[in-house]
Amino acid sequence: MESDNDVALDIIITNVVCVFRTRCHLNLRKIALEGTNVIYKRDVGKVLMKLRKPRITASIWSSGKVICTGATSEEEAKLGARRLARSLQKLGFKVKFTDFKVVNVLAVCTMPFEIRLPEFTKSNRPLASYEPELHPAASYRIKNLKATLQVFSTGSITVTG
Amino acid sequence: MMQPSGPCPECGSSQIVEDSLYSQTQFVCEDCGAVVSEGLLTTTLSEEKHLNEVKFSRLPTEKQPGRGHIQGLQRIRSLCRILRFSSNIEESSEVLFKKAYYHPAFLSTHTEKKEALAGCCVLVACRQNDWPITMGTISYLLQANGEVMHKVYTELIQKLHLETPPTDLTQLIESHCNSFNLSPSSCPDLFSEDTTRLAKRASELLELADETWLVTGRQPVPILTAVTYMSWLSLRPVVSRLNISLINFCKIAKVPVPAPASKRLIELQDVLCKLGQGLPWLRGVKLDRKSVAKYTEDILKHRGILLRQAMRKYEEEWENEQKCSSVSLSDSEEDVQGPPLKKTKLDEPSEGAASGDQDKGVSSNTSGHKGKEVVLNSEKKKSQCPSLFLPPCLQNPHPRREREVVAELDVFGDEEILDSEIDMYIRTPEEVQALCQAQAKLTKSS
Repeated sequence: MESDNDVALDIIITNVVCVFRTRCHLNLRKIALEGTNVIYKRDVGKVLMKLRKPRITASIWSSGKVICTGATSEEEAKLGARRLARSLQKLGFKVKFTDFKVVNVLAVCTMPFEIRLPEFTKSNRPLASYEPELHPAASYRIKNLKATLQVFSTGSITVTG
Repeated sequence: MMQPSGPCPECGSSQIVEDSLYSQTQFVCEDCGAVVSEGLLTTTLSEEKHLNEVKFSRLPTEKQPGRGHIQGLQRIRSLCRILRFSSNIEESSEVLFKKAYYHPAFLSTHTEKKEALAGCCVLVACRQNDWPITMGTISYLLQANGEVMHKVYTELIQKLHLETPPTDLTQLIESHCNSFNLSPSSCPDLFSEDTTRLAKRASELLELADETWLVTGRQPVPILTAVTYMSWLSLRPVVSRLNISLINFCKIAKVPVPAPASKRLIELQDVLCKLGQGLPWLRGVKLDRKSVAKYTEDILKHRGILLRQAMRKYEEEWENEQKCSSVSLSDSEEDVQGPPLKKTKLDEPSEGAASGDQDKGVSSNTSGHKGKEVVLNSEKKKSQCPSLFLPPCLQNPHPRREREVVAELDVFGDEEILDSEIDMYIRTPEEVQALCQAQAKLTKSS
């Protein structure tokens, strides 16, 4: 890579995972019967509900815990979670929107160059580890940010945390 | 409470200790072990109420290792003997296994995981002692599930905070070649090969594969198999050998064929063909995957120069194409007399580029969801020539179905939610009734 190359990079957030609690018991059969865009997973004991706007998928447990995935920003995740809580309220449950927390953000970035993973791992020990038999990417952990980067040889980097 | 009566009658020592057992206390001489006096064997109910119960876990006797622990140690010993490891590795595996076995993460797990734990400890010990071995070898010897081995290995490294340097493939190649049964006693003379020569040629091919992005990020065993086969072909490129395929070669050598090995072989042969075209005495010769084995020795001898030559030639061709396309673009602009085209996103520099662009990876990302983007400086990027040798997934990307471009929502999370937006997620009473009727009919018919 040239030293005077000022190429900036696209960092695209592809997924935001959040959780919240409804502080009430939820009847999954009722949600499956009266809700649209709903899949009832009886074996696992949860209901999957999909919203169109924002495009998120929520996993709902009878204890009142809800996990929302698929949003592309934290604001979207909050709005989607609130819409879901409102839908559950309309279904007749005494829902309270509490303990909202964003637990994971996944972003993707691509470098304009390829990366030699064995050399990268050697020069970044012990933060980096590379096991080609387990996974094709090297993982780089940043402890203070609690983030994990998956570095691929093509230059693609996935950031989670 | 009873008191010891005087010194020991056997040796005269005054070191008398009380030995607590379940039902009978004894006073024992510490020096000679003689029992000086005993407590009552039977007690009354009122006495028993005041007795101190002694739990097994508090007994001073040394606890014996459990059955799982013993079996795990036996497994480690037999693995080390089969693979002829040094005593260092065996000892460090046993110490590590003892530490890991009693760790809360592994103590109450399935037997399958505990069986895999023994293999993982051996693997870690080998890595720490720079002994080249793959996880596949150990899971094959233990007849363990590969996925379970992977999970246990990752957990072991994480929970015990171990540092394991990765295995260098160049160290693995020798042991991999030794596993091929190509001695004159086990196969016809035409197919037999000296493993030292085989390993040497294979390590040169492996270095070439590493330089041309065929090794990074891939499983090691299929590459090693492909490289060994190519080396075997090139050491004696006679017709009878050239007609033997990779699968038949592995059958002759009595070695299993890993599934991706044939793909790695094709990639390696393509690289050799690209480089072989630079040899002056091969100008005019049609190089293909079958015939390239005959010239592999020459290609490997001059691989440094051939690599530089091939990349220089490719860059020159690319620059010429760029000049031609920019000239044709400026001609068409003059004809149309429109505003100049402004490109803020990346495009492929030319359609004629043989190998995939590194730009392709970036452009495919930007066509999907739009998250937080930073403006690209595309002009500087365009001027960089893509490399001739790229990771194969960039050269031949999988056709991906285009993602729907979802409009970015300009939200701040706390907006008001209208009832009309929620109504589309709730069924009307008529719909609910219709659904119940349909479900009832389905259950009746089934």
